[in-house]
Amino acid sequence: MAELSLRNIDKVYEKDGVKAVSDFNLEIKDKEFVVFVGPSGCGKSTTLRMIAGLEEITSGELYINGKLMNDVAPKDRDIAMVFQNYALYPHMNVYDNMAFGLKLRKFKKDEIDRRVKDAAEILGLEAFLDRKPKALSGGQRQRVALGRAIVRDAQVFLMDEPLSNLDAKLRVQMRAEIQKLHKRLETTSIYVTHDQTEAMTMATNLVVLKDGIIQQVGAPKAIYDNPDNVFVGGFIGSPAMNFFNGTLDEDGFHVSGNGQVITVPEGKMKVLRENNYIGKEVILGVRPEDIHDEPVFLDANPGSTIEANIDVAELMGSESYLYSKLADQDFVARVDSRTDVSGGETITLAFDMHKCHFFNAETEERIK
Amino acid sequence: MIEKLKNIYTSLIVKQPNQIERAADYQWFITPANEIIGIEKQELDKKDRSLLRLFLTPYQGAHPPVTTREKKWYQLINEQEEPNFKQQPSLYRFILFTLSEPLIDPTDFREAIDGLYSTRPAIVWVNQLSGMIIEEEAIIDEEMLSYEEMIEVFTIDFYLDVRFYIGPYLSELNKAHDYFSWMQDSYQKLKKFSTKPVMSYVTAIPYLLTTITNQADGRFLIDAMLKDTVDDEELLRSIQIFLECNSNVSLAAKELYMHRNSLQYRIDKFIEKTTIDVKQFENALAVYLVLLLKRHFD
Ligand SMILES: Nc1ncnc2c1ncn2[C@@H]1O[C@H](COP(=O)(O)OP(=O)(O)OP(=O)(O)O)[C@@H](O)[C@H]1O
Ligand SMILES: [Mg+2]
Repeated sequence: MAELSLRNIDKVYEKDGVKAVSDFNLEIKDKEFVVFVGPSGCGKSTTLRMIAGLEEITSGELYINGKLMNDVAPKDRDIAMVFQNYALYPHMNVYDNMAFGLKLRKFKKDEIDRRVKDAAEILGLEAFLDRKPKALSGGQRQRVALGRAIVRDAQVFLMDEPLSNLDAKLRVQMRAEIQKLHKRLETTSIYVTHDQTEAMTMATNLVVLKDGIIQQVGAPKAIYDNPDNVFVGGFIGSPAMNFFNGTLDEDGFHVSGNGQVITVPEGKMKVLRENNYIGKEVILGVRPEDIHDEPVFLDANPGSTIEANIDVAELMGSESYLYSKLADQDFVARVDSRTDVSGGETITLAFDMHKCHFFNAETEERIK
Repeated sequence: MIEKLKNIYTSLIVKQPNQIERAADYQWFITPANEIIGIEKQELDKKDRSLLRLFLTPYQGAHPPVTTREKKWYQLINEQEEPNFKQQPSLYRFILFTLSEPLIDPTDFREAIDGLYSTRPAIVWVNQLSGMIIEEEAIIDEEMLSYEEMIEVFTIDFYLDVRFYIGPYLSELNKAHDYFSWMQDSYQKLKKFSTKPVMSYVTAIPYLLTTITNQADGRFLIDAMLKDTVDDEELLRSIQIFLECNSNVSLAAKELYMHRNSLQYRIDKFIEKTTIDVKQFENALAVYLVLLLKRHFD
């Protein structure tokens, strides 16, 4: 069992004084599968490497099970790691690839044997133990790389983009495999990715990062439904959340550019009023699936309808993505593909204003 | 601190154990500033040693060479004598590695390296935290991992931060000694500029040039990089013009009053002889700076 606590952690790289991570605070509970997600350079790997002990913590504290880890050597932190290249020793067979780390730690032969065979069983690799990596498929190699971590029987798994070098199909397959593995082993895991789909599907707890600063922590669904700021709203979800600039008054939201008024439900209006946003500029955030084209919805929401000239309509299977503009502000609607629309047509759409969000135009924080 | 210690222990030297003869006669320490110092054992009694250990870390020195071929390389690098290799190395390069912490057992490292190469490469340790893997042409095979991948497997098994610095291919054995120390010196300089886990001497050139203060270092770099083309003035001039024309072949050909194809042929020849793809920006930059340096020295 393992609980981690990261308190006020900073990382400054000496060479160029880059502050890669700022005031990182996070509590990780036992058995959690935490995902760090964010764009390239936001400090995901740096944070993971500090937890592993491969990178020094500039200031702040890291605790594992209540024990201060800052000065504990990586090998004594009881962690196991998986990285993105799923690299294996080309001239060792599968068995030795998994056994090597244990051999270094002077485990007894029969203990090594037991652990390697257990891991092989879990991963369905029993038949391949004698093979060299060259004679394995990409997925099998990836599983051996996981096996190298599993045999450690560590308290914490640290994974840095382990699937990023795989093709799309294998990635989906391995994603499921890793989740299955976590269900079975229940090892506290920290998983780094820049892929928001991976993050959403795998995390029990999601940490969204930008520029070395935590933007939001929470369950994927909670973050999706209530993003704390424009960045999180735009980063989590695909296609991304639509944003519209405009101003508020008692009539509703006035779209910048054409002045069209969109009615805001009273519940939301009350919050905006209480926070003194009447007469001010705000950003309206609407998810693509909260833009509708069904006649029933349009009839029920006359205050939030817009006339949209469709630039491109992408048929995705059961749904279509409609690309359009509202007073020069780009947006995407995700509608049922029964609607037969093609580029160039003008149709009526309506926003589900009960599900939309308002953000402060300056701080870009969600108004709540 | 070292100066003060020197007043007390007159035999004190600031060196690596492999830089002196009779290394075993010395007691070695690492200072808080990471310098390695040795004091002759006969100058120290038990009390001295205990005292020194209070503020200095005892240092075991480099792991000794093990295989026959390693011993030969070791001799060659330390210029002890011209070794007679059973099979003469033809083309070789040094891969400098550094470890964030010393290994308890160097044979573990050996075993990991053996798992990475089809044929065992020689390893010559500089100290407990760094050394050189000697890659001879014969041991390279297509299954070899990239150095980034090697770092992954090492990190996962050893829980260490490992770094590589890749030197040029050479064929002259009599340069091995200079090459070995050049690798260490240039790495020290480079470390101040860049912290990438894998660096190649080509990437390093712009940085290294800013620190070159003597001709010998510069010449080493020029020869290592330009290889056979170093005396082919015409070829080098074409390459320089090509680079100065933003790597635009047609433009450069016009400037040189030659046919586009002939210039293309020269560029290919340069790439073949130096193994540096001068069409890529980073390589182009390195080649260009080295060409300028050569003009400066000539
Ligand atoms: N060794 C280093 N020296 C100096 N700066 C570094 C070093 N490693 C990372 N950085 C910087 O720290 C910041 C965070 O880097 P980090 O590698 O943690 O990002 P990341 O979120 O993992 O990105 P990616 O998705 O590209 O892997 C970046 O600005 C990066 O340039
Ligand atoms: Mg990263």
